[in-house]
Amino acid sequence: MAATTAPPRRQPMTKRQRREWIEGYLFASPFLIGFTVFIAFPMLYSVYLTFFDWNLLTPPSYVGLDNLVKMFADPKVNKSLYNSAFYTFIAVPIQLVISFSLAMALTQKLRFRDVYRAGFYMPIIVPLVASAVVWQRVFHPEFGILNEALGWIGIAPRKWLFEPDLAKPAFIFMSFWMIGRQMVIFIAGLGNIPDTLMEAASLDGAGSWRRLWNVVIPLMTPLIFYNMVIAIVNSFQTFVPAMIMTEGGPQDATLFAVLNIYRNGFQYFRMGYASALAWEFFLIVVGFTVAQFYISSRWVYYEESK
Amino acid sequence: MQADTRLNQSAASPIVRQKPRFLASPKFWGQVWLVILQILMTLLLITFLVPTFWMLSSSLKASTEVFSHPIRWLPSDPQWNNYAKAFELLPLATFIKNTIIIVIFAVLGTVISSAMVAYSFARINWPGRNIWFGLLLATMMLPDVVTLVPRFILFKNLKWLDTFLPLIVPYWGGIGAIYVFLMRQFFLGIPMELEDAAEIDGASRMRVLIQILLPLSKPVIATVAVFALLQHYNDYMNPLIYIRSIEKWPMALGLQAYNSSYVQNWEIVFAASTVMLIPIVLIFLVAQRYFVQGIAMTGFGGR
Amino acid sequence: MKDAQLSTRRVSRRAFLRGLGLGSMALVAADCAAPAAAPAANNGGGEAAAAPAAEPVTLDFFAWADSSDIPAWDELAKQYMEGHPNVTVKPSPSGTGNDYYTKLQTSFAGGTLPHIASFQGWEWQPYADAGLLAPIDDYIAADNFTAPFPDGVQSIEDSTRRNGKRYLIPLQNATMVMFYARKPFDDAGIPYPTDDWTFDDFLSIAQQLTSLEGETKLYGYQGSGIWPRDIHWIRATGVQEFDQLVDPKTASFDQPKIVEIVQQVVQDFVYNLKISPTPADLEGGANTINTGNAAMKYEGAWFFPQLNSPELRADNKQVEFDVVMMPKMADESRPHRGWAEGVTVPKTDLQDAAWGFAHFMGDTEGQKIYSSITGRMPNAPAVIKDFWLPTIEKRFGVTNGKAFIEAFKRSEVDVIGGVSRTQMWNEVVKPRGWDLMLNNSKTAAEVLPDVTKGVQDLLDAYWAKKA
Repeated sequence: MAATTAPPRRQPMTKRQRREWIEGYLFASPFLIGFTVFIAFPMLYSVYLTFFDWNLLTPPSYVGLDNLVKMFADPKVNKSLYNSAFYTFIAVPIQLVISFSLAMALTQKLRFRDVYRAGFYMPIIVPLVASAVVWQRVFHPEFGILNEALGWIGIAPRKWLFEPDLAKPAFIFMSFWMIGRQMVIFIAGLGNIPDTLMEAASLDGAGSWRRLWNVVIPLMTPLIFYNMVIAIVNSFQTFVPAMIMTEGGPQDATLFAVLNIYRNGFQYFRMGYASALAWEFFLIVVGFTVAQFYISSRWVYYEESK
Repeated sequence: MQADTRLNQSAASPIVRQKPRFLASPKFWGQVWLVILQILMTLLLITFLVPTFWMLSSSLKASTEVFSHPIRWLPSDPQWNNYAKAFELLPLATFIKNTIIIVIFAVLGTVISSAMVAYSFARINWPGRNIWFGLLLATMMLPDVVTLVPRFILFKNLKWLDTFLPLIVPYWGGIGAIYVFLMRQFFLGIPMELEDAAEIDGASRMRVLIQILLPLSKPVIATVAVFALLQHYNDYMNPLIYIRSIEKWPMALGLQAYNSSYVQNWEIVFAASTVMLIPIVLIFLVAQRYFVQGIAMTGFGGR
Repeated sequence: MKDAQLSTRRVSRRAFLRGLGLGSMALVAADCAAPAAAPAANNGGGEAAAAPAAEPVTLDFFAWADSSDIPAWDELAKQYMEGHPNVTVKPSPSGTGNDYYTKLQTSFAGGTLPHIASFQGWEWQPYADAGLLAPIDDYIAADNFTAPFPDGVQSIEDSTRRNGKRYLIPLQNATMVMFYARKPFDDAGIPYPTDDWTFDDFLSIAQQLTSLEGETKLYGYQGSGIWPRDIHWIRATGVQEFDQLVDPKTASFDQPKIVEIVQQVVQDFVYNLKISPTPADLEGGANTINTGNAAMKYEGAWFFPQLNSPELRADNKQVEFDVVMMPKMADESRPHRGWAEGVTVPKTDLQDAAWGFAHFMGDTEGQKIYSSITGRMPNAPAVIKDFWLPTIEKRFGVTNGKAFIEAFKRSEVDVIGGVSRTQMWNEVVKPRGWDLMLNNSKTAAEVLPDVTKGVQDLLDAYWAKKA
């Protein structure tokens, strides 16, 4: 508010200032309350829970650090983290390449551009449960359309969701249908690249590929970084497809971290252990995010003048 | 937000170059390239839409046609009554009703609380504001799973389990951080003259918010509403742990029930999927602009 | 619990931590109180089922959701409500198998107890131990409801009684036998199996019937793929995986005889002899006896409506079938798996009303309704003989229903105790045993010692806590 033009001073608040503070809290109160009750408190409570063994039917029993010790030694936990990481760090780079390429293509002088854009974006609005239910059958070894289509080009049918080595690649493949969000951001970003830069480069004799590599991509790095961070956080949290399509199988190949946590909490009813797992997962994801921000200064190019 | 063709400057400056033979000219290759691209894009589009198309067409097949060699892309005799069967086998109409109730109240809560909180962050100076805003940003990256177990226990103690409350009330607490962020950014972009004038005239902040800012914010409100709708419509994990009675299930849970109880009746499962999909597609077609806008504004939205 | 004062002001660290400590203590304390729910006055249900209480009540029935059961619950509820206008019964079909028990546990854990809950014979014991179920002995005495609890039938005893009290109201006597589809036998010219057939007979028939070339695949035997059902093969060989079937203390899955039969039935049938479909083959409901792609399957009476029923015959989609006892194996007494399956009454304030409906379902009238819709074998010998046998022949085409009766006479439960069969299966036997064998990545000899260790750990943990 532009009302207070006086310089900051250490004096008792004016009535006006106090009123402003109160209003500030008041309007922000939904978030202040909501955050505390539904986010902060639960998070702290779950730290407390990790020291207990509790199945909600009988009183909790204190187990000290047992849950943590068990967690680090639990092969399923490590496998689940590996699965989530494998899926994320393979799917996301490929997704970025695909969405970037599509965005580049859709900023050319094509006819029906809007139809293409809507079409590529559509799979995202399909509810994930519905997608999972359909894709489960797309991957069906005998009656699914993927094996059928592969048959047209002479590739033998595979049991996609039943072979441990193929299940994660199948999920990664399925994730390529969800690049619509990234694509739209890239399209918007590409649209913001000023004409003058492109003309200048072209006058300097840069061919299309050169222009792409030395002009377009550097200018797009903030958005690439942005998409990457969001995609990584989201991919780590994959739950619905693993839960519905494979239940974590075959042989835990698709036992993703969130599924494992859900299972420990709501199928085995080990609330304390599940809390420990959730915190471990949280710290890992936060760690990766922070690392990305840290590294980003090396390769993300922000313009000096805005 | 219009993407444009600035990137495809195929015409070279006429001053620098001579006019080459047509076949070797950049213009020709430019055009060939465009045609190739057009074909490629069309093929890709078809690929993207195939799973959905297969779902729609299979939902009309007779149950024996589903397990046929080779796979049929179109039903030989469309069974429209598959949809009627889907409604009979499980209370699909109830699932739809529940979803509507949950979504309406959750979205309402999101819009109202986001507007209030965003206003506070954008227009009011109060101690700790920056810290809380930082917390808000942090929340955007928060994996849901870390609050899963304790929230369940919290709601259990509040006796809110097996009701819609856990799916609605938290969102009245402005915890949809992205929406608050969106609105705040938007508010910051609105010049303050109108509000200043109103305050001089003695209007309360609430009036300023409701009567001045919000009417100017229709685009962002629409975007927030549309995205919140999508988020709550698609939510599976939260109803899964909070709701147990079948008559309170939203569609997401209901669809999984079709998938497990009628697993071999693909046509029924697909029919139920289609029923779940149709309202969203309709909303998408009508409000497409807001989807694209919202994403471009913030980078969130969808997965 | 919402501590509003803490959140609308800047909070000092101390106050926050204090609030946190108090809040969490409160949460924990609130929960300690919950399981010790005040036991409802067990006044023995002095009123017979027909005498209605004055005020309207709504009974929440957490129900097993087998596709044959769903319409049955609705019909039973409808009939009961006609006779008791002040009672509304709401069946909530909530999944089957594992899924059902997970949801049920969530329901109990979340404090949203149903008034009536379906159970098979072996899953309710941990809840009874935790004091969450109402003992029904007084109700039984008051209503003279003795028919479902005949003396001397061990499997019913084990399924319904614990620590001297009864908890489960049987709605069926469940046992499983071999189902066979008539058509494959007719096409191949092989005579139908009879009750005195042997395991070698079975193997040879399955191999003769299996034909995987050509348009339609036919598997001789649709394997079950889960330990709970494969328990039959183990017990019929004369061994068992536990020292005792009720409240076991040691597990021994790795006995040579068990390893041998499990290897044969779980892995060899699928991958070496190829008479059973793989999990991938079965995905999405394909390659089953229902679709006409398997000749035999180990199933129970609830499966009748899925193969052959008046509705299916109207659409000409039925699979003609019949049943026969499981083939003779090493154990001459021919044990079959058997248990009582039904409902329990959790401790709520509507216990008496809940008993009214449960009693109705278990009594002759209700049993007739239930079993004619689902095909399940009723809970009383008289109803079985006079009503069930002729009904299943007329409705489902089953002529050898007596196979079920004979099987039930020789029945024993799977395993019962404080560690539920579901828990053993979910946490150990499936991921470390059956999944690996069914995926053909490890043999029985390799996995069963590990399974033994896992189950033993569960048992040890349970007994240690009880001590």
